[in-house]
Amino acid sequence: MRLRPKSTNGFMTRNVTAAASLGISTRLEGPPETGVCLGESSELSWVQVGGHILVLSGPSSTRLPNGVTLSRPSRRLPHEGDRCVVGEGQIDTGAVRIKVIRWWDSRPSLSPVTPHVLEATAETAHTLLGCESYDALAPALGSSDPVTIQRAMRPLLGRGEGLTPEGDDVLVGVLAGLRLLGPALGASSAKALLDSIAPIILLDAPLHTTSLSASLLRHATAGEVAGPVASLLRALTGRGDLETAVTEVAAMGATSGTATACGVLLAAQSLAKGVNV
Amino acid sequence: MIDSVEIRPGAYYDSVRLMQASQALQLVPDVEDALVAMGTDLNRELAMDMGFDPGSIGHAGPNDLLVAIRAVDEKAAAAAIQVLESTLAARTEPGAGVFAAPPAHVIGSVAAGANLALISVPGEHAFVEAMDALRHDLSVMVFSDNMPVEQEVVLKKEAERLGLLVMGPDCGTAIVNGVGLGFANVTQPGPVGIVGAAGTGIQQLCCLLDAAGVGVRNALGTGSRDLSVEVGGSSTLRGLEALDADPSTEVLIVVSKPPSPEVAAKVEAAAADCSTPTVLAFLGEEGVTLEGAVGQTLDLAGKPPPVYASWPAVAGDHRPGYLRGLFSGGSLRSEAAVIASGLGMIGHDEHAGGHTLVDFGSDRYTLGRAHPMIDQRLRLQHLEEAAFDPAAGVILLDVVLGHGAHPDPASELAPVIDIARAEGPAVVVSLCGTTDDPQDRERQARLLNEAGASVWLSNAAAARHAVSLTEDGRHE
Amino acid sequence: MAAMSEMRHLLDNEPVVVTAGVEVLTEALEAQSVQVRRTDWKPPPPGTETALATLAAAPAVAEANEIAISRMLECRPHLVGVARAGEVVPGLDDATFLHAGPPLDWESASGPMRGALIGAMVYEALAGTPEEAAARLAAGEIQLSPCHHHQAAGPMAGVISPSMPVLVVEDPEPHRTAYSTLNEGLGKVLRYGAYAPEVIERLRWMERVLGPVLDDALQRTGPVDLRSLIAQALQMGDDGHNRNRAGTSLLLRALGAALVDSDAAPATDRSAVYGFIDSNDHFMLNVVMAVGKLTTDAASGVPNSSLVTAMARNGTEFGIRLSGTGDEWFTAPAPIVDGLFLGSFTAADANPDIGDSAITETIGLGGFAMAAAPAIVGFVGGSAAGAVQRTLAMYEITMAEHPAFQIPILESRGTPTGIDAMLVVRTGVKPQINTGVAGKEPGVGMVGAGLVEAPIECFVDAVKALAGRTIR
Repeated sequence: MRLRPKSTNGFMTRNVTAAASLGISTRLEGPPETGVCLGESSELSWVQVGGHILVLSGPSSTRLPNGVTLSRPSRRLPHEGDRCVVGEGQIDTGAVRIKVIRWWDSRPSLSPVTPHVLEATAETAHTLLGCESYDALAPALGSSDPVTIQRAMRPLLGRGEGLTPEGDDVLVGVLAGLRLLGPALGASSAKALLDSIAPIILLDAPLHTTSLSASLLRHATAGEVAGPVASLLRALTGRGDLETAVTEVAAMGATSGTATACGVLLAAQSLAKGVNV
Repeated sequence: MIDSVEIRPGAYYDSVRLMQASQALQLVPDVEDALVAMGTDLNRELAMDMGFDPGSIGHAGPNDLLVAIRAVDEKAAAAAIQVLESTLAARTEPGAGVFAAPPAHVIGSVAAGANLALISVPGEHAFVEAMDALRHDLSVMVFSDNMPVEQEVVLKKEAERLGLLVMGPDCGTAIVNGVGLGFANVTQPGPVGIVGAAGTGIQQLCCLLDAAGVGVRNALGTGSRDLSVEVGGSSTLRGLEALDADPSTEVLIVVSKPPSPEVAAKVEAAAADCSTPTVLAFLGEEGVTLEGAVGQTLDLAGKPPPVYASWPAVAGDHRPGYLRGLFSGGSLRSEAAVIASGLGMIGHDEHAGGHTLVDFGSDRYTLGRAHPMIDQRLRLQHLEEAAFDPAAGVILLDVVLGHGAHPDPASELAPVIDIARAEGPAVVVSLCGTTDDPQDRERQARLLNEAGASVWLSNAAAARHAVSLTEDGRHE
Repeated sequence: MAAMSEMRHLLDNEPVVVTAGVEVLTEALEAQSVQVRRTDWKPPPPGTETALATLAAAPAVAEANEIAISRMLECRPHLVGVARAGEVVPGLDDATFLHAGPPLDWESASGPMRGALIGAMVYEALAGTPEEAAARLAAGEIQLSPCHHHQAAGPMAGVISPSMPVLVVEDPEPHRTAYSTLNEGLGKVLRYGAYAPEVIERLRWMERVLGPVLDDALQRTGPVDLRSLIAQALQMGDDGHNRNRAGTSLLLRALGAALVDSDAAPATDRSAVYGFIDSNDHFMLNVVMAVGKLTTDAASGVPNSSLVTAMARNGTEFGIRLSGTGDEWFTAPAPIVDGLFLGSFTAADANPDIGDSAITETIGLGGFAMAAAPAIVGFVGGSAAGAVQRTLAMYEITMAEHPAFQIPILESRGTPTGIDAMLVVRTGVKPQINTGVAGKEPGVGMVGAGLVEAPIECFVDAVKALAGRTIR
């Protein structure tokens, strides 16, 4: 096949193409709605529209479950207070119109795994990461009692610093772990447990933590996680190299990746033990 | 002419900088000769050989800087000293680029951390690059055509040995984890996986599935010769195996031209072995269409078949005559040929006369020219010829959107379609695209429709419509 | 099953794509926010497609290269002594002189090469005058043979005659030996084609005093580990070819005590030896060249390997050899060096490139280790950043990174080692060599120093020849 040497750009210069998570496709593909940019850091901006938070960032950033990754560097990102019109596959910030031309799936499909394998991989990852105990969370998860678990989880909401406080990251890991590893183990009880815990946590989240963090908790409950966390989950079930996955997840953010991974491992260990019993 | 000799005790500079200084001084106007060097025996001798006064040179030691200048006058000598000072003082600012890697020339030097290579160098060079990619642990998509088949066989054997995948050569379309490579439509990653030797066939499947709300996560192109006897379906079988093992793939489609019987048997056996339900679409076999394959797939996925979008033309007369198909996609042409088989003989090239379906994407039309999905000029020319050809009754066109394709095909086609409609033949367009494609499918459809074409999302539907118009014309 | 895990790697992760070829396809990926690594692909010289494809297809080539490069990297050179060339260098009889580069005869020899051969005739007392020497050489009384055919390497003209003292460098396991002359210093020296009486006198002093005193010192110190010494010199700013100040100092430091504590020669001789080495920053160059020869000989003779085992110039031609093509030379006219010139010399005074010293580049030193010696880049009016760039460019055409020779400024990355002729042809990136420039008239000596690139034609011919004898 032959192509001419140089492409012509079909869009005007103020158009930027982007890739986005399927986790926000309903909002992005829906009818146009006006939102507002709630904040920005050097690498990303986040926009609230309707009940959704969209995180806009440059091409090399981590794929977040609520992420929109622009194909060009981040100087075109909206600034705090900017109005954005979101819908029909586009985000118009006034300065640029961002058109989504690629989607990624933040919800990993996991292969079936035995409790024995999961316990072993989780143990290895736990050692590699050097996870903390996060107070009463581990024993609470072991109890399988929704009230005890909620009681252990709630103090972690908003605990720590930054855009996604460390405590929230741990909770993201626990929720996503329960949602995705339960079915992989064939542990139907995990879903029931999650369904009774998650609504309370999600209800509390906006009161105790940042809107960005609250959004990530909601996506985690649906099994939608950042790219490196998805790789870790797959590796825990035996797909892909575990050590690489641990290294990559630990490299995410300052502490975010490690904290999220440790949350996933807490869920993995409690589920594996629960099934063993 | 004056000689100026200066000894600077204890002023050490490395020899390179001093050679630079000597050379800079020689470029100063009216400076005849110059030597800037440490006062070693060798350099003192050199200065004396150049004719400088041994008396003034003699006491320089190896740790002293010897500056000897011969100039036309004092002014030139002073200028030389100034140049010397600035040369000796010069420091290159360590710019941000100190550690920037030079451009990479070979795949191996940038392979770390990557998992796929996309190779589109001229065909005679593609094999070496593709082998390099495999040896660096990358799967490969070879977009290039014209790779000798024996090289393809070697390449695919090596890929099997290393546990990697080769897509191609002559692979125009692939989707890997939702990322479109080459010519590909924008589709949300979903439960369907495709393995195909047919580029626009894959694109049509993606578009129709997208219209039904079903996404395609991976579409692994295999290259046009994969199911030949020589290649033996190597990439098709590997692709099937990998997608079958992928927990996110729920339904599989294999699409290709009809393979040789022995390879067909292998593929059928492999498909039967898959734990994932698999649809086989050997396009060109009687009754096999892309639309039909999508129907079976939706059935397996438990989804109802949709009514595919169409933009009917305003009713109007067209002159009776032959069906003239001007395609850019080979698989779209094949599907149309299956549907039009009832018309009788169908010609392959524009000179055939009678009913013709021409694939302008085939080698004989792309030699020395860009693919018609990017450069429409040749097709526009033939469209205009068909418009003025009294024997042409119905013109059938495909318009393929998506990554890699022309950014706005309809704006070029519409004026010529307009002419065609004025001249008499009906124009039917098969529009292969999704709502998320960068070209804005709705706008493309509207432009074509306003020019007088009837536009169909399903290529099979477009072909059926074109055939019925042709038959109507015949009956008149 | 390893096979499956790799494919999963492709299907489970967002693709990170290396692209080669059409720009529009790369742009389409970038528009999708995909991580793309571009290559600046250029077509190789016309007519090489079949040869490159044959070599790329043959598993034997990849296997052979692994063997050859590992032999190169595993070589452990030690300086064990100094001996009379005629006694130790194989095949060097009384009627034979060795010279740098690929084979040549008197007719085709350049000015400095003729000058050095004349000097050697006078030095060996085979002729009373330069004129007589030239006549005897022209008459073919002396057999000329490349150093490279005799486990030896010599800088510039590289002339080795039987009476000269040579450095003996050995690898104990497997046992191998390589030789090089002792460096005469700068200025009017035999290797640059000078044959004035003081040149001959210096050579006689080297034979009479320098050689024996050094050998005596080495017998006391025991073998000097040159792999470690060169590694240290790179840390101290040497490139091992044009900058050998650190290496020379380290060697002198290693020998110092043994030179002092000796009764094998009068103190004045021992002091003169110390002073001679101390005043010659290039003394270590010949040691590094013997290391180069030992290392490339170790990697030679592996059938099917495209590893370059020699790059050498005789002042007329530039020649290379491959591990997989045995003793065959692939030659092209020697290029002119792009450099800076001493005093009032200009490019018009320069002889085409000459010397076996590109053996240093052949083992990943010299121009390949330029980032370790940023000052060297000044020879072409460059910058420190340029030195780093030049070294980085060499990683594209080499097979490995040296485990011991490291470059501090590149976070101690190993030097780019082991030139793959296939990669040179594929990329058009030519091996770059830091070198001295000889005056083209015999007797003039050194006129400058600079950079030169190996001619691509040698590599094209070598690759074609290798493909011709490769087993599919």
